[in-house]
Amino acid sequence: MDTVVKPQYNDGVVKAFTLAAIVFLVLGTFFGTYAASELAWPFLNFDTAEITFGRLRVIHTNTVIYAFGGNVLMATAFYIVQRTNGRPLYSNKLAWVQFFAFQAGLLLAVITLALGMSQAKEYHELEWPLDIAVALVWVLFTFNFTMTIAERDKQKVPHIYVANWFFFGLLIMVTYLWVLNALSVPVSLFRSYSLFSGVQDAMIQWWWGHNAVGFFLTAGFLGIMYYFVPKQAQRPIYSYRLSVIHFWSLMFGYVWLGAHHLQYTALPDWVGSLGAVISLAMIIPSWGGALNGMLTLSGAWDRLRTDYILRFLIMSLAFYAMSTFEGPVMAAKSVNALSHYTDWTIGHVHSGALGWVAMVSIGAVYHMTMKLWKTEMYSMSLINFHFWLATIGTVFYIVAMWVSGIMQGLMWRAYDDYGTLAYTFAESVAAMHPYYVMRAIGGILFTAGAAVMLYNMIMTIRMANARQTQLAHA
Amino acid sequence: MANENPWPNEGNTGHIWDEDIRELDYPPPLWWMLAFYAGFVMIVFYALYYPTIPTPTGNTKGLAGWTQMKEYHEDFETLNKWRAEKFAAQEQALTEKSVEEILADKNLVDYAVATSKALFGDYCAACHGAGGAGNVNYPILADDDWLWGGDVNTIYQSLVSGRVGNMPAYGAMLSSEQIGQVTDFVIAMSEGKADSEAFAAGREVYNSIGCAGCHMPDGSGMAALGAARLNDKVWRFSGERAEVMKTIAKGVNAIGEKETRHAVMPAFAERLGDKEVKRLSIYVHSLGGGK
Repeated sequence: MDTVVKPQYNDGVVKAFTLAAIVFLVLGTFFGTYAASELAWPFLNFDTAEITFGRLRVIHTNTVIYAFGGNVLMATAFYIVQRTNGRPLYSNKLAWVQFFAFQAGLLLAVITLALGMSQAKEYHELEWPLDIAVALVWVLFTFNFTMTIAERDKQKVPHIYVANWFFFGLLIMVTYLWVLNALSVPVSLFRSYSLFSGVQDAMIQWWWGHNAVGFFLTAGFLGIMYYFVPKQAQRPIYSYRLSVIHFWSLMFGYVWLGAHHLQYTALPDWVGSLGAVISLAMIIPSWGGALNGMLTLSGAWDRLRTDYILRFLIMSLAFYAMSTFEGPVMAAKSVNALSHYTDWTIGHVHSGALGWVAMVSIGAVYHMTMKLWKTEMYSMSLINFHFWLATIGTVFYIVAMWVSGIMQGLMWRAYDDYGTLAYTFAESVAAMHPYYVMRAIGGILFTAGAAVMLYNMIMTIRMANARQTQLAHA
Repeated sequence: MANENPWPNEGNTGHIWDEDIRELDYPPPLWWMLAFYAGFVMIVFYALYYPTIPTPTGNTKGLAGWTQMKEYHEDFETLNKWRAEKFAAQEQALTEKSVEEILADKNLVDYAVATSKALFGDYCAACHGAGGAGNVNYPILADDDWLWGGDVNTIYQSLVSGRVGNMPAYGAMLSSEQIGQVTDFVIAMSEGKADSEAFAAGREVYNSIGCAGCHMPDGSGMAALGAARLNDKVWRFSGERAEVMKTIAKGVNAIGEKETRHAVMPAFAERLGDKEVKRLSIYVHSLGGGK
């Protein structure tokens, strides 16, 4: 075998994205926990417009999805694309431009949302100047990522690794759907109106909205799974063929699902039916990813006892499998009639967001931290502690929302002996209180776990830096 | 690369990335493949059964003949039929009789009250509080103090057409000292001390600027105009001195006064229909203060 010269990777910018991600994880889950607490104890908004639930909730979703999720995707995409193509980034400078532009955009996002500037489109609230800025950053990301693959040494790396396919899918789909849903008529610097109206506007919005889930929060994170699960488990991916089939079925399937957010509305019946049936047909393709990840572990299950990072990765796949079953069931019309507009939806989103997206990211970030800073973690037992805080917090959250959501749905449709509604809306709100408290506790646990992680990372990096200084002096 | 496969016997595809990432050549599990194909079969059957496929003139209707509007109407019909079987007589009486006639029939009153809970809770309680207990700046319905009158017909009229309170803003007409004096007099009135000489200055203002015209010289109010009774402990807005001063200075729904108090009861006749408005009138009358 020839002497293999290890390629030099641009890891500085990856480190920056990684740290930013975890800082935003702590902030975003804190905002969410505070918003949840406001629902349980309304006095907590202190009559301050900027932190009322209506604004804080949007700040929470934007911080966790785009600030945490976005930074994780950028960190892992740049980490993976270099390593699986055996070369540094196409442009390290552009990556740094992307880093600073993205963080500046996120800061402005939090400020403008707190001031109440919003397009009022869920998961797409930013007003048009920021909207365009985010799209430009995203195009920059796509360009740098794509060129890194395009300019690889095709002799040494003839095939593109599956993790990169998923990032590709994410980059392309999010670009066009984000831009389509952003089409609007500006009337001033911070006010615009959607180009679409009525049910068309709602359909375009949820075409985007569900793909924020399907591509931003799923495809990219499957890419993460495909790199970090085999790396951490030190096992080969179970089935190449399975990865091909479930990749293409996700790519073709997800774009049909938006309509299931609009069952029993002005949306024509046939559009809702299509949304429902393709959703149901997506259970198996989704499970393909979870299955491929879990079967990769076959023969190495005992490692779960000792490897806390692997625990995060495998627990995330379990939650992924569960929420990709739950979602299609809720898309079916008869279930949707009960579940829609209730807390069940919120619970479903969080079993995906906390259980799948956050946990797979956390596992990946712990793995990357050790590689990037070339060190062991400051404390392995703190990772174990974090694992239990995150898992118990997530379970508290989703169980509370299952109970409260189903109860809400049943209370709204209950009739008394006279054939009139048995409960007023206010009574259904009052009945939610204990579950809102339970949800807030789940949030506190999850946020505490995130804080433990940030502490562990900072101590790890300090430890690594101290060692570097020692080596330099020796 | 292919001839440098360090794991030649594990059945991988021969592609290796980042030193040790590789993929095995296993087929997907059989059950997974079968379920995957079953998904396509399900799509076909679903599309045959429900309206699913767009056509140039609309969409396929589906064998089930289902539409969401049809489902809605059927559910509603089922409920209506069930109600009609058990309560047809009562519902008809509510439709045909006047509120006064309904009030005279004890069984009918009981029925109206029993069927009003969610109606009142969803349409009225947001302002008037659960059980009509009132809210800050919104009238209590469960007492015998009425702005516009508490007989069942007047309550019915309040619901049918709504009410708009009206009191001029005196901020520009009176000095702040005068507003303070008349405020003290009005508060004294509510405490039964209106005759005390200590409030003579306030009484003078009260009588001279026209307060007595609507609220009456003794503060007993005038239901025909919705003018509040002042000589009791019940306050339409607040009995705090600063708040009473605000009411006098800024008025109620006073035109051109930006900080005026708003006091509007919406009209419910079109929104709920006459039968439901009658039902609610009886319910509100029964809350404790009906006359």
